[in-house]
Amino acid sequence: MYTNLPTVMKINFIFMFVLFIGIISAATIEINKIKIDHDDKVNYNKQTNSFDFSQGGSLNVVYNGNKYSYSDLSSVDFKQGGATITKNPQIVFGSDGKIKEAYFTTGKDGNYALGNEILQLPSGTKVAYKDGKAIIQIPGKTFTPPKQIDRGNVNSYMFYSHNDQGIQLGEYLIKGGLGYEKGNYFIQDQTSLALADFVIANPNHVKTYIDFEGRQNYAYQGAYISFDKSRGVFVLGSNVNAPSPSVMFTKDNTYGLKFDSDKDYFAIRSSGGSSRSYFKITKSAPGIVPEMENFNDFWLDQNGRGFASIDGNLIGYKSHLIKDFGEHSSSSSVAVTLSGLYRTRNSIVERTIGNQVMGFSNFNEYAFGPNKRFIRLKHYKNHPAFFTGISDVESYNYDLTEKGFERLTGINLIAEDSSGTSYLNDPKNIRYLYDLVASIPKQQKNMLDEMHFHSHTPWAYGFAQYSGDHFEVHFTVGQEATASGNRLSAETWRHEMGHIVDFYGGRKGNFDKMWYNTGIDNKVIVSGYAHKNGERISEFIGHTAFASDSEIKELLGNNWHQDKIKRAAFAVAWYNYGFTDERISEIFSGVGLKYDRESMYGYMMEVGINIQ
Amino acid sequence: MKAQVSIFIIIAVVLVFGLALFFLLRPPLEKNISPEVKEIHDFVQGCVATTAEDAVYQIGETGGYFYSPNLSVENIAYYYYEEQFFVPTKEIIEDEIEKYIDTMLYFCTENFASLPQYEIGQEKIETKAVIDDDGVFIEIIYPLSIRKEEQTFSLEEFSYIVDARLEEILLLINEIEESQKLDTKGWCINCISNAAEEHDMYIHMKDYDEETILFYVIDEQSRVKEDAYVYKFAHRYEN
Repeated sequence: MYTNLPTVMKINFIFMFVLFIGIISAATIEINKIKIDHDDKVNYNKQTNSFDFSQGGSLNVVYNGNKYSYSDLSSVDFKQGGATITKNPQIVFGSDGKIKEAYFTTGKDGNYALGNEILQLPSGTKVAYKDGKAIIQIPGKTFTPPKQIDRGNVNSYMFYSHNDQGIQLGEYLIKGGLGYEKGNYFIQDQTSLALADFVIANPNHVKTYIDFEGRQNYAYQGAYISFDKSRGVFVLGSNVNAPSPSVMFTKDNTYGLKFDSDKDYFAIRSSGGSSRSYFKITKSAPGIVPEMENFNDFWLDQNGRGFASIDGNLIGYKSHLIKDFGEHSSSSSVAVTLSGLYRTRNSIVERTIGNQVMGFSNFNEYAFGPNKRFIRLKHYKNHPAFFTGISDVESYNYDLTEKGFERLTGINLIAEDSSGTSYLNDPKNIRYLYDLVASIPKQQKNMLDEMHFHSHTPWAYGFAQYSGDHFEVHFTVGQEATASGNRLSAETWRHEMGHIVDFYGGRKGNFDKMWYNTGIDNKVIVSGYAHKNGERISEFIGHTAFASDSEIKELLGNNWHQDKIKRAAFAVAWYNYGFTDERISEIFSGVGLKYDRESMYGYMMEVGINIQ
Repeated sequence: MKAQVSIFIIIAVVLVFGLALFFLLRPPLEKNISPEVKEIHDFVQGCVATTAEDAVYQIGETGGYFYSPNLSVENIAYYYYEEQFFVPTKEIIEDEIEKYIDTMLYFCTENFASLPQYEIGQEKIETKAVIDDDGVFIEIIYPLSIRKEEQTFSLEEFSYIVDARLEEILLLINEIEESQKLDTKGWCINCISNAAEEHDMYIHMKDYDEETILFYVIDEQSRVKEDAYVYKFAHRYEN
């Protein structure tokens, strides 16, 4: 009978049979109300909800009404992040209907769902995904951040580029893998990575987020580097129980870390821990060295010398502390200041070094002090009350030249002869001149216009004068910077500057009236030279500016509480900018007198000077 | 009657205590120096003062020793050497001061060559040094027999106080060494700074070489040889 059927019917029968076979070999599977269609080339394993694309085929899945197609998939075979992945194309769905595991290389551009996220991938992208973690190798250098399907979990991605040409992060190309998670970027695989103006060493592969905010961020679940080149802010932190990677800065950095030698080395690391930590570097105003701030413990390495905060204590080391970048040594260090906080075991946040600031100079020195403009480091030999130190002023560290001094202080330096020229050509002497200026009040410094240097001044050591329209001091100088002896000593400087304060009239032009009309003048004769007319004020300031407590007591007797004239002498000299606030506090506290402003005005009132 | 007896007893007790306190607390009477030997006494006393000041100065220069110990650098004793402590006790330093004076005082008196008008016999010097809150107290037994124009005199006891806060410095150093235990490879900068502030002193640390740091404790309140007192010691850290 069959053989007698018309030819057309035979053809129709064959067609219907093929169609029937086709219908029964393709399938739609539903998991958690998510429909998954696949053709007959895709091999479905019901036990594991996995789809094998070894023979090609296609699969469609619909989320929120949008269809996502998986076809033209090929196997993945790549080595990334220490893992070698060789897999036939495969997709595994979880009980929630989302893809929980996938291995494939895309055959065409498109949107691909992975877990709870949709990822736009170009053709040729290699994907290995399992349980929320994806390793993806893209043909280009950029990727589009994934979008969430619903409010469920999100994935953690590590993107690589073919041939490791790098993945673009802002203006930087990240080689060795760039992670992405919850809108944040991170690195983890790289043992070492040069980025912007620093190098990251991460031998322990700590997950390290990177952003361009330049601020501390306690939300990251890992270490982080947050920098903003435009503001010159760099933050290295760790919010987990592992230290951050080490970071070494390059010479051309934008945070104000100034290297005056190619050998200079400046590296940091933040400790992490249960209280979290960060180390922040901020470029300061022009002319000021960068400020650093720490929260909890850190490591700092300057030219092979280590500094660390351990349980809130600052520890110094003679050797390298951060060895990730090899051995380094240099005769100079990077000038910076540091202040910090740490959280104690009972969760109280305290200042690491009290109210003091730690300063590092450009000369491998460091010290603490309340005033970072000039942290007193050490005495000049034979002159215990006159200090040299560390300053956050850039010129004091890096520009010890005549011009640098003039720029910073506004005082012109004038060499009157070859001795003067030699003197001013020596950086040590310029530093000494800075020290001299640091010992006087700013207002006193502003009174002075010129400093002249001679082999021999008409007077033995120096003189001061008003030259029509400006104030100047002249000094006899030798080759050596010295704070004692007959040359430009600290006392000579203060003595001549005492004249300038006198000539200038002090604060309001009436210093002389306050001094002479109240009987102070002849009650505080501190030396034989002070008997000479016109030398009493300058001798008083010059002598007492650096005198020890015992010398002051000796000079002025021990009856301070009775002698209002002597109290007033110091108060008047201070009021007229003869002494710094710091110095007057030393003088008065040394003899047990109050030195707050009200008390000082009170001392002047006792001799009839009413300051209102 | 009983009450009267009690009052007398109380008065007697008060008197006895009062007298005892008077004798205990009164300033020592100046020793009666015969005018004939006052010149020698003043000369020796001058030497005692100079040598005592030198001794305390030298102690400061070396870290507590007359002769520097083997473990020293530039004659400055190591107090910490590759994780071991070698801090001398106060008693050792007192002994060293005594040794210094016992040895060096003779170099000042120079066999009294500058006083030829006297015939002077001298015996062994025995010094007792006490480092105290108020300074370094030096008591010296220096038996001298002096003969002048058939008359014989003797001098023996001399004393001097060096205005050095050495006791305070040693307390400060002990705090520094205690803080050294926080980390054997490094030194606690803020501990040192805080200790210095607490004791009102300055500490200057100076690199000597790759491993050694020299510590200079500077006390402006002390006056030794008319200057602020400097006490030095060294630490060596293993790299």
